[in-house]
Formats: sequence, structure tokens, C-alpha cells
Amino acid sequence: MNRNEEVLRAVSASRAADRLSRRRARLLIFVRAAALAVVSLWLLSRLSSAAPPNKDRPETARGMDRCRCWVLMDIESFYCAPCLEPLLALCRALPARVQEDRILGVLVYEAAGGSERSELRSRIVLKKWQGFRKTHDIRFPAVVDTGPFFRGFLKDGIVVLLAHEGRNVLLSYSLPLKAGQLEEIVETLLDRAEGP
Amino acid sequence: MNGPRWMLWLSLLAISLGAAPPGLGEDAVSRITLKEVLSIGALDDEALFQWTGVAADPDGFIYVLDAMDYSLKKFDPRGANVKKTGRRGQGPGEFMVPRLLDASPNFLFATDQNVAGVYVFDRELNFIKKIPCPALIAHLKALGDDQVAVAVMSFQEPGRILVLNGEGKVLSEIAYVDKNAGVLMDSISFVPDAEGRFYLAYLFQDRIEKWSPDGKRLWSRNLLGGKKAETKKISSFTLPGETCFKDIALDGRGHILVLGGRLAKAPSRTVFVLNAEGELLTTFTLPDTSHCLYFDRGHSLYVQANDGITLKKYRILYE
Repeated sequence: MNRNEEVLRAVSASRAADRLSRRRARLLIFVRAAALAVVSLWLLSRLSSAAPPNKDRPETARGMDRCRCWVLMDIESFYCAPCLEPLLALCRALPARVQEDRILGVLVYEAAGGSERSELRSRIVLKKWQGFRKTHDIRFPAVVDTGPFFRGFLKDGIVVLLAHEGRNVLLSYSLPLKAGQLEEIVETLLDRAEGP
Repeated sequence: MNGPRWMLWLSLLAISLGAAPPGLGEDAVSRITLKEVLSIGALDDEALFQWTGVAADPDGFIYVLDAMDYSLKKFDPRGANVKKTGRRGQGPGEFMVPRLLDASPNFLFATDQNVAGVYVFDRELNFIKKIPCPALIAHLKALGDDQVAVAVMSFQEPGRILVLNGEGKVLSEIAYVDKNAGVLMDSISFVPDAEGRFYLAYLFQDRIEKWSPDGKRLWSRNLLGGKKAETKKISSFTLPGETCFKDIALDGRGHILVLGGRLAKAPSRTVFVLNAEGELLTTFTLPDTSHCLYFDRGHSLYVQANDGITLKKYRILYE
């Protein structure tokens, strides 16, 4: 074997090793990609099964970034006619679009029992709200809250929290409203309020 | 001589062992189970939102008052909604807080919480008239097409049961409270039997009573070991904060069924079963909490489930 043959054989062996190395690398990439795909698919399936179906989810407001008013409600307060009338008057005074975009109802109740019971109770409260909302043609959506934060505000039936951007303050109103308060809320939500 | 004497003792022993214990006559019942035969209203439909009163007519149609949409609804015997009437308001056939309901063979009798009167509807849900009543109504039972019994309450006078005719004339009265026991302490649920006697369950006292048609107390019983409801002070009033009992009903076999309140072992679910003399025969537990017990003419039991969005109808199985 002459020198040239040795060189050619060495080059050939080197190329073969290189091809083998590239094949291994491609295989490794393929295996990694496959593994990634499997993990992604598993994660996606976990996420989709963890999320409740749409019909079970609490209502979410459209344009919630512009929400400026929170109506805190105890479902039992719907039997209190003096509490209810100002709420209905407020809804009658506001166009549907303003209600939908700027108000969020919060149905506050204390969760009792385990998480399963709490989930059922949330759905029951939302169903009652849907019946009430449809009857009165109320347009703002609502979510349920079982935590202590909003409950702290809710001592008497229905409370309206209003972010007054012109005055940079958060205003709180307990229903039934005092004279002039309904107009103040409506004016603020309709952007006709005067600044500070 | 010893032989016949032992025979006599053995006979007496056999008789005593075989004899029914007190309170368990031929109508004895030691265990009650429920078999669900109908369910109206679910989480994903619009049948019921918060039902308060229920009644059934002789043909098996079911009528329900719904406080969340201010309506009176009619369901066929299979549970399909066939009619609905009512809306929020104070006009004829309108409700602000619809609450109590009962049925005679041809009419429905309904109350609105803050109205001193009884609304009368026909079975097609047409509003017929309002029977005036001298005070607000805490409980209601139909005695016939032209007669109702109501428990009335006011701050001025202790509670009474009035029997009214269709024009609101008081035909008879039972003053069941000896003296003013305190605000709301005279609140009752009651049920009449076929002979005109009344069975009373006090909502905030551990007392079940039977009264004769002419206003005499026949017996009085405790079922909760004499427990007292806690009270709380609101403004200048001291009010009871816990319920002893929620409702009372007759099952058509001579049993009195009493639904326990907050102070019962299973709050709003324990049902006490008594005989006509007020002796406790047994108890059973409802699958879900309820605010009322109602029996139709076929002796099926109607109770609440899912916090008022579901109405359950059960057949009672006696053992």
C-alpha cells in the first residue's frame, strides 16, 4: 500500500466516521424533537382538560380594562325590595354598552364545605344571577367571589364601588342610595362628571 | 299448680315480646327511605331559579313560585314547563317576593311576602282575585276552593291562625300563643288534617303541637331535647338567629312529618316522623337541604335541592 492509498483510506474512514457522526446527530435531533412534541402534546392535553368547559366558567366582562364600577351583591339581597330598586334604577339609567363595558358584578358569598361543594355552589349562584339578570334585562356580567376581600365591603345587601378617574378616588355607595348618589354614579359612568 | 302458673307467665312474656311498643300500632313505621320519581330544574336549564312554594293539583300538574323571576310556573306530571305567569310588580298577578303556595282542587293560592292578602289563580294561571287578610301572612294552607287557613303575625298582636273565606271574612281563629313570647318567637308552620285539626311546628322554639278546630291545644311535644335557639340583638329588637323547625306536613297515612332546622342533627335535612299523638316513630334524612315539605294527593313528597334551583319529587317507602 503506497502513501496515496493510505491517505485515501484514511480520508475515506474519516468521511465514514463523519457520516456516522452526522447520522447520529440527526437521530439525536429527531429523538429530541419527538420527545419535545410528546411532552408538548401531553402538556396541551393536561391544560385543556384542566380548564373547565366554557359554560361552566364564570362570565367575564368584555372590555374589562375599562371597568370602572363594581357592584358587590349578596344573592339574598335580591329579596330586599328597597335594596333592589336603586340597582334596577341604575341599570335603567345606563345604556347597555356602558353596563357591558364598565360594570362588573361580583356575587359575594361565603364558601362552605369542600371544593366540590364550593364549585357547585358557585354554579348555583351564577344560575340564580342569570335568571335575575334576564328578568330585569341587566346587561353587566358578574363573577362569583368566595374570598374575604369583597365580603368585607358587603355588610348591607348591595354595594357599588366606583373608580372616579377625574378625582382619582374610589367611591363606595351602599344601597339603598341617598339623594343624588344615583345621578352621581350615572354621571361618572357616562363621563359627564366634572373634574376635581 | 306450678305447671299452669309457668304456662301463664310464659304466655304473658310471649305476648309482651310480641306486642308493639308504644306508638307503633298497625300504622307502625320503623324506617323510611325515599325513591326519586321526578326532578325539575338543573344547573344548565331555565326551569327554576329560586323556587319558594310548590303545590300540585289532582291531575298531577305541579305549580311552583319562583322568587328570582317573580313567576308562577306550571309543569306537567312529567316535569315539562307548560305555562308561566307573573312579573315583578304590585298589580294583579304580579309579585315582589313570591313566597307561599297551595292548591285546592280548582284553584291556586299564593302569597307575596309583604302583602296582606292571598292571590287566587285558576289552574291555567289566570289571576282571579285577591283575598284580603288583616295582617301579613307567615304560612298558608288551602282548605277548599273557597277557604284558606293563614298564620298571621304582627308586632302588635301574637300569632294567630285564621280561617278565611273567599272574601276574606274570618270564619274561625286559633290564638295559639299564650302570651307574647318575643319578636318572631311565635312564627309557625302548620298543616290541617281532614277533621279540621291543626298541627303546628314552631320555627324558633322546640315545640310541635296539635290543636282542635275550636282552638284547644291537644298536645305539645319537644323533638330537640328542649334546645333553645340563639338570639341576636338587632337595633332594639332581640331576634332568634337559629331555626328549630322549618316545616310540617301530613303524609296521608296519619304520620306527621317535621323538617328540622338549623338545630337538627342534619340541619334542614332531618325529618322527624310522628304519629297522630305526637310520639316520635323514626327520623330520616333528606339528600339535600330543603326549606319545605309538601305532599300531593298521591302522597308523593316534594322538597328542595341545589339551594332552590331544583325541585325533587320522591315516593316514600315505609318499612
